Amino acid sequence: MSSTPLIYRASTAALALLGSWGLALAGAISPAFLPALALLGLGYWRYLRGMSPAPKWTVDVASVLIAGLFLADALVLSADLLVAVAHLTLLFQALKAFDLREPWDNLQVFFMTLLQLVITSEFTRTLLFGALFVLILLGQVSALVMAHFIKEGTVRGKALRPGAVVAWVSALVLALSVLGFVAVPRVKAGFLGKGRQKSIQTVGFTETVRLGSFGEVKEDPTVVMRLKSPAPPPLYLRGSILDAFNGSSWENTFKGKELRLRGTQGRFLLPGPQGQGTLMPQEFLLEPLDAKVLFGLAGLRMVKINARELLLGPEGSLYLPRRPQRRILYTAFSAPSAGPPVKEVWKYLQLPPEGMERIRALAQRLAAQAEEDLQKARVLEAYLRQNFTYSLDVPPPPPGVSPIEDFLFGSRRGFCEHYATAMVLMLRSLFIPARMVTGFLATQRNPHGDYYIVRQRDAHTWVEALIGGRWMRFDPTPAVRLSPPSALSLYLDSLRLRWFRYVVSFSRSDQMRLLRGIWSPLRALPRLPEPQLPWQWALPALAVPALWAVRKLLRRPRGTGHRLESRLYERLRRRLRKQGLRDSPSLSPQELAQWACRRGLDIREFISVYERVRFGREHELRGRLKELYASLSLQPKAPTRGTNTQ
Amino acid sequence: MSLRPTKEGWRLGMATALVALAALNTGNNLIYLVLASMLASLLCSALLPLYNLRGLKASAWALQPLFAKRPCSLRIRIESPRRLPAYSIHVVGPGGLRLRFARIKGSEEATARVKFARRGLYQGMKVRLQSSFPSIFFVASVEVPLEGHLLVYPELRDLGPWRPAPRGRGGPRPLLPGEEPQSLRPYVPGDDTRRISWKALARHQSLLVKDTRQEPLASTAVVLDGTGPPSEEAFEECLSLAASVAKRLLEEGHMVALLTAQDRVPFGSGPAQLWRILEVLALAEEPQRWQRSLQGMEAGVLILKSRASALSRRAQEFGHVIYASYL
Repeated sequence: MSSTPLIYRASTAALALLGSWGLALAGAISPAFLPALALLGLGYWRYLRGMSPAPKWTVDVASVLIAGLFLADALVLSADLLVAVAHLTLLFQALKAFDLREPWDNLQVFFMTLLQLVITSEFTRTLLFGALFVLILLGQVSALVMAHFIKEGTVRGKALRPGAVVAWVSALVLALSVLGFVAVPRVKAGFLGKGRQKSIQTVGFTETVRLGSFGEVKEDPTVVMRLKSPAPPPLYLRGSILDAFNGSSWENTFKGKELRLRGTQGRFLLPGPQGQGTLMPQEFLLEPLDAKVLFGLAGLRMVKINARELLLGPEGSLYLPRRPQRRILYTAFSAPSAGPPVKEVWKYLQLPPEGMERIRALAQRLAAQAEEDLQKARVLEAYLRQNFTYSLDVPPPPPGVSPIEDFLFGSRRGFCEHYATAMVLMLRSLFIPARMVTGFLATQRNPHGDYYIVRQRDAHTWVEALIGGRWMRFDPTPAVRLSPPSALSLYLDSLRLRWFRYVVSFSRSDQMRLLRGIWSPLRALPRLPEPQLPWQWALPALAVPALWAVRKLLRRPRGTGHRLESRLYERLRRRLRKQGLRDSPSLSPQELAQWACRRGLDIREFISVYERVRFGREHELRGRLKELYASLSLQPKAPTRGTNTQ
Repeated sequence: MSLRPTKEGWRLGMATALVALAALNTGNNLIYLVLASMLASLLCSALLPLYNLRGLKASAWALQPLFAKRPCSLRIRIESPRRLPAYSIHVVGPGGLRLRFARIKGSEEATARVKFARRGLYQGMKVRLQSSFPSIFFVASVEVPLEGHLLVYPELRDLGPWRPAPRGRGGPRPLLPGEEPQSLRPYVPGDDTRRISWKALARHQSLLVKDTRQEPLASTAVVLDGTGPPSEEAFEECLSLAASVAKRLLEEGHMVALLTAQDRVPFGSGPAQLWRILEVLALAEEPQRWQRSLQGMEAGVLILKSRASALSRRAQEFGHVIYASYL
């Protein structure tokens, strides 16, 4: 082992550590298994210092224990096969760190690191994976090139300059990887298991929203979506519409009455007045949220999305049929003046049964001077903006007092939900239909890439009032000055956007677009319909390697491989062992022949031909060797009658 | 050119197939990314060895006389026309030639130990160049012509205590025009210094004088009759014996001639005569019949392939008769 170059040992250690730490950072490793990481570090520390491997028996015992632990893990502890395999790979790497003897052991580490990378990809799709991938790829290429030179015995050649070789081979593999990634047809068969991407926990997009729940996410910087749109900031990205308030929580009473929309080649036209102004495009890259809602500016007219159907609520909210398991890329088009016809207006005048007297009195007092509904709404909006303090630190209301009463007449502190709820209740008490809208307020534009970054803390609620037959937006929450993000964080986010857009979300549509762009004659062709069944792609993709393998198998008759002579020789040794041969690795073919001769077995010709094929490379004698083996009779010859045995 | 996956190559292929299955199942682009990198590794491992061997030329020449069944040194040169170096090139060729070049840029030379099983003129040979650079997953190989030719002389055997007769039937032979007596003896005090052989001094690092008192050299012919039932093995034995006998005779100071069914080397002495004889023997072919005259050759050594050879009936005319088939 000490003869192995340090760079090779270091690459092996780096690969094992990267693969295992990647799993841990992706959250695939349970805390109970994390000590294995420390063992892994210890093992490679010993390995890099050139210390001898652990005794064979300890490795054997540990292997048995790990196998048992894997079974228990898969069936009981985590009861999740993928997690159990992740734990197994970690334990394997930790054990292997103490048992690196042969070059093949290092190759096992490389293969295991690849498996760990594949498992990691099921747990995280962040930029961390990208960094991990590039590092592991470079480490593997350098390790494989070094393995080649070690096998050749030329690794220490000064004129060889392995560093330069590693550099240009790495560049080539990286370039080919990019090309392969773009070119390999995208298929998802989904015949085994499901994806396990964790969703981001959001608030405000379920049927019932507890008042104050937005405060839980108002300091969460997790990015929930990125948005490209020519619309100027701020962008009010509508999510759910809430119409009923019971004093402590809001509810969407339209739930379950959605209309199923069928798309044509991914295009969904929403019902509503046609031909009103230009459409405002909004290209969303939505993180996997725990909600089914699709966001968009007011007046959604059309959505382009890779889905078969969408659900449209009577209030105008748009939903996916099921919760997304991964990022969604879609483009929404809005016409600001458009909107679906209003149904069940009476629902937007509902008030909670208790605690409305003071609120109604306040609303009537404030709107006393206003004549029109729009003026009344503006007055209420201005009142709330100017006379209350925005705060996430809202104390619980005194017993018997509703949160909105406490906000308006007690603490006078609150956040968007308090402001919006108060305004809706005041509007409704003035018989102006109003509703609360939950969504996100996009204000942060990233100059690197010219897109909006929307985070959890941008979750927002505002008010829509039905004035003059149209829903008009009011935002009574005062503007809060936030410290702008650093240039570095903006740059990193633009990298993340590119990673998500061009790697994680790379799709067949992107491939087709790329193909059309590169191959100009294709531009003249009509747009090809995207195949609905993935097998249309998968079968031709699988057919080529399958045909190649079949051809190889047909062209290579069994038993004519370059190891034929060794296989036959080993078979013979096995047969002779059964006849009492005390075999040992040092037993030469000639000694074997002599032993057989003493037992009355004639294998001399076989051994002679075997030696000529195996060591003299007279491969044309392989056929003869097979014949000899087939004709070998390993029964001791009985003395022939009349023969002088002396 | 051919390409063969190694054991590790098959393993990587299987691992790639499994990752492809995972990518197909999940549709996860990151698994597609891993798959693409594995395919790229496979592709590089398969294409670079082929590129590595492209355009390479091999040539060989002997650093010393080549004898059959005797290890000898051969100089191999590999030339690469490419700007990028070629790495880890293995050369496998005739005579058990096995050589490895770690890096070839322009041209590189190396010496190999080879052992040819048979004598003869080796030309139009081919060597197999192999490479698995830059990984260990595939081995590419190509056969290229080996430029140059090699003459392999018959095997020289140890004749043991056998010594040739110290005379020839024809008695002392007169010196030929321009020929000088070859006999040298160690210098003893009192010898005329003008008779010191300076060439011999340079060769042997000891003072030798030309001995004019010596007897004229004995002349012995080596007659090789390879006729009779075809037997390549026996004929090769004949050639090997003839070469060994001629060498022994020349070392003993004889004038030696060689007569075979096809060729004749007139009497001569010294190392040059040995090479003349060896060259004829290296290129000799197994004859069908004997049609040559034996005049002046009867006093030598007769080497017969078998008892059925044409000259076996005249064996009694020769001082020594050796049957190759009995050896």
